[in-house]
Amino acid sequence: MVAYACAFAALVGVATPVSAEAERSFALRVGRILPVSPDLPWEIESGVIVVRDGRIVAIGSDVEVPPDLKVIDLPDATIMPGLVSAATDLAQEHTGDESVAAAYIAVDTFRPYGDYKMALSGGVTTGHLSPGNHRLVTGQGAVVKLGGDSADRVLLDRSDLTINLGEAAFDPPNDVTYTTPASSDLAIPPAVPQRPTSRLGQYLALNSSISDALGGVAPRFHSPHPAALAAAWRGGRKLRIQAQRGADLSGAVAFINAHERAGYLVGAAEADLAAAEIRRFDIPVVYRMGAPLTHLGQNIGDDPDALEADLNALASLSGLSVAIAPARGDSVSSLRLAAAVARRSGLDGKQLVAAITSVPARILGVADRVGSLAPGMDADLLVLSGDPLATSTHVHRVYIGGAVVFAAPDTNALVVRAGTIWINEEERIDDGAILIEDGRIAAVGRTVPHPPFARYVDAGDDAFVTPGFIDALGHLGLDGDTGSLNPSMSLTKIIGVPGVSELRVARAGVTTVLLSPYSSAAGGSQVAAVKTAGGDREARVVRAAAGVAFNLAGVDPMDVGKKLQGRLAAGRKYLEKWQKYEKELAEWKEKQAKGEAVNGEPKSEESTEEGEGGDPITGTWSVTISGGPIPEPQTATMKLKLTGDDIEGRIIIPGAPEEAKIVAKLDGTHISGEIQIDAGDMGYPQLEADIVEEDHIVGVISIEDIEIDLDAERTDKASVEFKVVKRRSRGKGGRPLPPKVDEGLEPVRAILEQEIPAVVRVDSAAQVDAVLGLLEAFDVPMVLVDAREASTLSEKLVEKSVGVIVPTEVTRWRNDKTYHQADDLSRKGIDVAFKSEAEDGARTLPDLALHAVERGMSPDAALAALTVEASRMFKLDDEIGSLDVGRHGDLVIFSGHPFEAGSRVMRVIVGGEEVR
Amino acid sequence: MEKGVNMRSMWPLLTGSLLCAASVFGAPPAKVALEGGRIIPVVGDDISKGTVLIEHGKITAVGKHVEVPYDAMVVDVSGKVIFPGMIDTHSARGMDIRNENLPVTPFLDVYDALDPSRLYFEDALRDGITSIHAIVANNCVIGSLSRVIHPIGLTPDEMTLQAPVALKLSVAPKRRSDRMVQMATLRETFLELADYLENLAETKYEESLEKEDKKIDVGPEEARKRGKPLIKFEDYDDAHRNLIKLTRGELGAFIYCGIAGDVGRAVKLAKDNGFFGRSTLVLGDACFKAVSEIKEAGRPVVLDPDLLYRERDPITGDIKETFIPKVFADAGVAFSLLPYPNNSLAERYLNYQAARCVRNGVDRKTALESITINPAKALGVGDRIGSIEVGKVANLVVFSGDPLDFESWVDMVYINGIRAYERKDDVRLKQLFGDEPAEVTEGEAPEDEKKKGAEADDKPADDADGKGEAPAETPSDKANETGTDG
Repeated sequence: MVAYACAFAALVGVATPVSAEAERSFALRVGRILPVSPDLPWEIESGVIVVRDGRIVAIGSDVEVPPDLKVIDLPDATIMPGLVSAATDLAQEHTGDESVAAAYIAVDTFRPYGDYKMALSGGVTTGHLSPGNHRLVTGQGAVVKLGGDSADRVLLDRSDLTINLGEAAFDPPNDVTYTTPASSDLAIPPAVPQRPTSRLGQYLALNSSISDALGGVAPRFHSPHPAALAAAWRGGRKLRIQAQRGADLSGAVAFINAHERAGYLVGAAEADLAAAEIRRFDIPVVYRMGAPLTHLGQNIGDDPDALEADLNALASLSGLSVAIAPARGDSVSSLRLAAAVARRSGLDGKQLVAAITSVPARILGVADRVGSLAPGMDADLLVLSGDPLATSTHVHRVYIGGAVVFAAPDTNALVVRAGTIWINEEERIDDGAILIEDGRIAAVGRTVPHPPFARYVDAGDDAFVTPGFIDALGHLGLDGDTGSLNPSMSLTKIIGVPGVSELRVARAGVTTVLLSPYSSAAGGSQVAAVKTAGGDREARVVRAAAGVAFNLAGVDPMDVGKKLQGRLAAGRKYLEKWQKYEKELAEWKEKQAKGEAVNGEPKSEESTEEGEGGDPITGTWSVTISGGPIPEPQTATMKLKLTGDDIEGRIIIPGAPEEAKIVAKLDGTHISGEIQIDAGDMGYPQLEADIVEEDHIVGVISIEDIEIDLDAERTDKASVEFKVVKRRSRGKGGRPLPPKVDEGLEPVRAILEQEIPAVVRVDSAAQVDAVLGLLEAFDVPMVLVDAREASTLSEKLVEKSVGVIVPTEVTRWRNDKTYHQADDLSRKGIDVAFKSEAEDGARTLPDLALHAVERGMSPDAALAALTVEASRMFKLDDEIGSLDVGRHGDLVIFSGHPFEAGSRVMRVIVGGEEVR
Repeated sequence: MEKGVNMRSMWPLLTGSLLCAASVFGAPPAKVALEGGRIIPVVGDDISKGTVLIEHGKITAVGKHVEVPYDAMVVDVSGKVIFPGMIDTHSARGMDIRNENLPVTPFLDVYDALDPSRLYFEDALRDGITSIHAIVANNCVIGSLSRVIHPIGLTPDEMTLQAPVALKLSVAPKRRSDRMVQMATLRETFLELADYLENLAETKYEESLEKEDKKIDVGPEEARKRGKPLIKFEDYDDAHRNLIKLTRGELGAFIYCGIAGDVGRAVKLAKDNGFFGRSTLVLGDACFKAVSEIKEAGRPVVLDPDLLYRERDPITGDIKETFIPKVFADAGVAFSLLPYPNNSLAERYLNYQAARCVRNGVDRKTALESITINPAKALGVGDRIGSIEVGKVANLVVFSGDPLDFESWVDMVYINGIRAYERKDDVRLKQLFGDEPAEVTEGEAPEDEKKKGAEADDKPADDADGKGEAPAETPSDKANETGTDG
């Protein structure tokens, strides 16, 4: 079934036309174009290429994009012509025995429907097909495109007459001609030895074959080759002479000149020995590299005649018409790397780029279609991540005739290069790069890995990369909701897909906001660390509970301690329960591991309580509950006991796992109290009822805005006994059971465990002092908000490493002098952070720091306050705030140091994705 | 193993007993009426509970209400399905070798290689194949003359329905060759033919002058021109005779294309040499990529028996599968299917291949045509076989149910109106399933008849030993069938 489904899917793919005409018309807006065209500048920055029906119609930096075309924006890409490989191994050598065999045409081996994806992934769009390197005249070559519409792939079906000079073509096998059907008067003739067997013989064989063919001298036996040779010669095919030795190269030049034909040399390992002749007659050369780059480490052996191309030979061809091609046996996809390696010869970079594009196109005779980018040329384009000769550059996309024939697989790797990378307050790299993979920084340094097909952003030499900025206290996304928040609630619940406000903030470089409600609850409100960009909630939340905010501003300094202390004490109790559990669990596990039996099988502690009887309440009641969410009335049994005015009881609700406890008070005939059922955050359901007549109670159970009617009649007045079952402390096998989770105290527990800070808003020095006093008692991380008089206690703050989130006011006065609190505290060694206390007002956060710099703060200290120090305060420095390896891939690219005049945000990247 | 040996030594005899059925039991009835079955004529609508009347080997009436002559033998096929005999459009399995070593052999004829005792013919009958295009396999440059045969008969002449049919050519390289040599050889052959004709014309003119004792009086060009009308067909030698017929359009051409790129080369070769109008393209599996080119050519096509094409992305490693007939059906190209003897048991059946097409979204009518009328048309015998129509040769298959149902089997096969196969008398199936296969006993055959049948089977088994050894089909033979050179 699956296979059939696949087949269907494949068929759908086949049926859809891949290169619809509309798709072959578009405009590319790109960072850099290398047209490799004599009529255009070498490099066009921020250029536009307009393609219609697979051909380039306009190219340049000031080209207007026609309104009817789809625009493809590739701001980081370098565009160049598709590469042309003037020698390939794409066609296998023919298997014929004939030494001179012009009827073999390489285009017969071409696969116009073939998938040359590997070559295309290397950027090669056009290649030469050779009939072989093993005979004197192997046949006729062809020039083909390696992708695109099958009908348009063959550029030239007979591009040249391929001649091989040198040892490879010596001593061809004897030629046997079978006459069929053989008979007594038609014998099979003996095998005929063929030329050449020596260097001299090759010219004799060539010249005599050509003159015989042209003269129509009948061959010994019927063969199509002389006719083909004559046709090729008369048709003015270029002479493609493949030779390696200096002597053969010189001979080839002489041969070309003697016959006054257009020709070129291929191979040319010893070009230096024939450089003078080549230069004199300006013969083009296709230089094949020495060792195949895809199969390195091959031995040559100790044969003194073994020949391997080396780059000195190439250097001797500097300034000539030279094309580079991969070594024999090498994959055509390594052409670009071959050119990069060829740079060792000292050849100019521009010449080498031309050597794999425009020069081979001209040599092969297809320069009117491919090899450069200019109006009228085929839209065979490469989209590169960077400079074509840089080894770490990747091919991202390839177009042939305007159709995408190769697209790099999706990758989540991004490399950013910049002139300055500010990693943290102590470390910065000049001219370095960062690799972000899967949203985290995977490497940072002078150079970093470029994984295959990684996106690449070269921000330039002036660019200054900083970690994403952190708003240490903001309200982004609260939409003006000023209500306080229950201590057990996290603000991450309101997070969704980023909207326009988030985008504004992110574009300003603020990538993380410590989100807190406008006003804190008495028990403290959770602070959430949330990113300003990201695809979904999960991607946006850095830490759901990153701190607990307490607002103690305006509280009497004498009460400041008490208020916070109460919460911390409750938290400590809660923590101790957990610690006890964890300790027990650890012990239990240890014993379990040792195989010891554990004492304390599931044990219920039981006791009985007895009621008095004979009063209006005590006894067993039959209860009917109805209304609210209950679809139909249900009956239940309730047992109550009156002691003084206190009513205690149990109610068994059908379907409930255990009895619920009722605690209420009797006031005349009115009963009010609660049913202690765990209803989560909503608290216990409230019970309000009246004794309407003897043995009959009518009332309401309410929880939040749900109300359920209750009607009960007493069925038995006998006093009741309650079995009190305490919570079991041990589970199966004596395994300790965890204490009940208290969502409200969980963040406090995290504070006590020193995982997150208490974020305390205070003001006066006395308040600060009082709060710091608590640190003695509880030893918890703490961040002060505002703390306008904190300077006076700076030593203590340094000692306790308490950070301060400075107020939003710009300037303060002291001793008749203005000062900025951020500068003041930072210079005293206290961690400082900036806050917006606003929603999308957080977009001005960098300017808040700018003011601090204007008031005297050092620019790097201000940068640290926006990044590292803020993350350290919230113990988030393992996640965000710096560009160290392992941190989130959140960064801001400035055109210079963020606090320099004129420096502006160029790009913002959050989690490895650019914010646009 | 023991069983295998046993089977092998017995098979010539078994085959003989099948093939001789007609002669052993006397002349076949001149008139047969198959009554009460569902008729799938392929051309035209299905007829439920219809009758097919056969007179002297030809279909003379088809329909719901057919007047059956008093002297016709009536065969009740109610509950069964009458289907045209299926056609194996390209098979070298009936010959002693599949391909010559020589690359260019247009002077050969498969007639000389046909071996009527091949097990293949018996299998073909059992599988409901009534016509076979006997043609050399794909490992050639120019192969030999082909013919359409029936899988019954003791000599190639008895078997033949139509001959000659076509010359086999291949643009995909012969083994140990390559496409450059292959194409050069093909072009050379036709260049040499032109050369030969020129020389022959010159010779004929000279001869005509010699008769009159005259000396040659014109230049060679004029001599050739004058000599051309003097050439008679008998003057052509063996090596060129069939090629000349080919270029004159007197012969069909079956051209094998191994890869999609071969299609264009095949079309060009055929157009350049004048046989395009009678060409049929035999396609390798990857050729579907050239479907638009094939549609434009408008010639009949024979698909590779491997209907599923898989290719692997060299970078991601993802496997992509394509169901080939669907591509052609979607493009509106009529095609013929081939059985696949090298693969699974089921793919050996043409009706299973057609069922796979339906399963993969090909229209039922197209699928049925691809095993009956399309092959007949491709072979140039569309007016004689391939459907159940009045006037056509009575090659019929009686299926126990719908031909595309996996549970259906071939119950009877009629060739030339002769009952050539009946499952209940299939001795090999009895060998396989025991004397009384459950499927067969369901029928109406009374007890004693079955016993008789069993006795009759035993008898020839005793005479078997003297009949000589039969060449077993070796696995390597089978591997050559489709050729891997694509």
